[in-house]
Amino acid sequence: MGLVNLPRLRIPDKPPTWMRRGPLREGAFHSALHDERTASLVGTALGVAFATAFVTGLISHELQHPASWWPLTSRPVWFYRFTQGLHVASGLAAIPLLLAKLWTVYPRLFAWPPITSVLHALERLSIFVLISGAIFELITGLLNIVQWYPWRFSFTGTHYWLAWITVGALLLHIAVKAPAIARGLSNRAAEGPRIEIETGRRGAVSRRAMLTVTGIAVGAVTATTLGQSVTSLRSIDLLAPRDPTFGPQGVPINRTAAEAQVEATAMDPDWRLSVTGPRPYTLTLSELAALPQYTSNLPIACVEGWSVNAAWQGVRMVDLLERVGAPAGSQVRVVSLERSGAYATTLMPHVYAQDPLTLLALRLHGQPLSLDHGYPARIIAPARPGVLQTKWVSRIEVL
Amino acid sequence: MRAATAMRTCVGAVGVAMLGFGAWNLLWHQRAQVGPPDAVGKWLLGGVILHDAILAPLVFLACAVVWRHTGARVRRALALFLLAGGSLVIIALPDILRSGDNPNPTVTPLDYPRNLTITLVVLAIVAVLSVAAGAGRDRYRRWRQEARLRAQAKAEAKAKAEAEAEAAKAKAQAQSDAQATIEEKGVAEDG
Repeated sequence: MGLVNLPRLRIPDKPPTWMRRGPLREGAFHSALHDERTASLVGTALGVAFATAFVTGLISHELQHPASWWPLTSRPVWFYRFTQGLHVASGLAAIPLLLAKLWTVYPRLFAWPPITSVLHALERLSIFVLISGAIFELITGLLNIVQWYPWRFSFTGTHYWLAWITVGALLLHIAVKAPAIARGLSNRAAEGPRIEIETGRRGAVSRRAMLTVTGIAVGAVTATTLGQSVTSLRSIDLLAPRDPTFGPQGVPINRTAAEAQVEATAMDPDWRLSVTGPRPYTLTLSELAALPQYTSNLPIACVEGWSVNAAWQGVRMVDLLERVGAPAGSQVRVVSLERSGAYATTLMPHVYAQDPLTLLALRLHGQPLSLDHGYPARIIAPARPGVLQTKWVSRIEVL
Repeated sequence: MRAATAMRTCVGAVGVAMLGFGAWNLLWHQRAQVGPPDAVGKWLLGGVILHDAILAPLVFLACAVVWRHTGARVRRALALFLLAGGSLVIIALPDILRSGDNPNPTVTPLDYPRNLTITLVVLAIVAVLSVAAGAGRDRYRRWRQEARLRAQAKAEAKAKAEAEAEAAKAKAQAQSDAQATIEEKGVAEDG
């Protein structure tokens, strides 16, 4: 790190006397757990949580804005349910891990001398980027799952690009600290004496105790929130923003008809489904209901992490497309009655459009769709994010 | 060692590339999609200030106070309550603050103040039990050690007594042998 020394900047080995107070006082941090080994162990767990959140976040992004090379798949049907549930769970688990990690390395904020070289300054800057990005990602994610946006930027884009910045800074941090991480994880100095395992202070909290406490904190956070995505854990779903069985017809919703401003148009008796393609046609709701009906047991899984299985009944997309004479491998555009919003129209790649499980659903759990679930007709396709399961459908266009 | 260095350089380079890619999109390429950079900057800086200048000093101050009045066992339990309880409060706070405000009634449908209280009480019970279990374990260990010491002392005493008896016996034997020799001598002299 001493490759580029700061020219003519001489920093004393110790802070000047008037500064030696508070965190800059010698021995201000007396726990022996602010060490390499604790930092490496907690940091590894935190790194795994961030890597998991990053990968599942990329998957979610690609499912919503697929690049041409991305291998879209409609199986397993619970694919998105799994990846997005994991995304939110790993982000929540990262909260106690980040708190523990920052506690461990907090004394280093006051390391003296504060800067020894240009490279050292850059390294500290990258740590600042890493910490601010990590805190930003966790806070914005936490507020997004309760649909709370008290800021002026777009959540999706900012959360996404800051994930690249944060994970980039994390990889840089791992590269810079590699020798210390290796020493910490093997609990052995490369050449030199063994690092003391004991905390060295009688009556101090041991490292094992601290790691156990961190593990319990992760477990507590996970146990009280995972029930929103894993239905069998619903009975201990105490702090998740969703109850997977709470909502009209026992299924939560992401956007109400009132929010989407479709109450009047969706209830209009003159509603028609129009399907455009080589042989365009329109159908009334009763004509749709007279077509062969199929049942698909598919999960609805939201970007906010909650998900639940449901029985949907309706007309198969493949049947609607066959009737319009759509060529094989057609992509489909689904248009909703919503007049605004990012998901008023959605694209359905052929892998979902051709799937026999994909429905234009008219009923949920044996009852006609409630207005908030997309009455008169909505899309339900396997392994797709909930925001793309377009509600209040008015038109299907073969592209 | 050279492979490790190459690997390290590689990881660092990938990190810098990802960081640059994200920053380029955030500040320039996708700026329209993201929104005003000063709004993002405020939240980025705000998070660090919230932790480094408010939360962490409070925690370290609390630790310094607790340090003077507690032993390791209580400290361990307090650390558990602080980290796990603090994390639970953090994840429950948005639920509590947003309850009733959302136009979508299926968001935050639970009684979060009650549920948070339940989880904190359970956590407190676990912490108290861990202190009690620690105390019990220590007492048991002390008792076992004392028992072991007592047994050891007893065994030593027994060994000592046996050795003494042995010695006394040997001494008596020696004495009687000496007596016998004298008597034999006497007999011989008499003879």
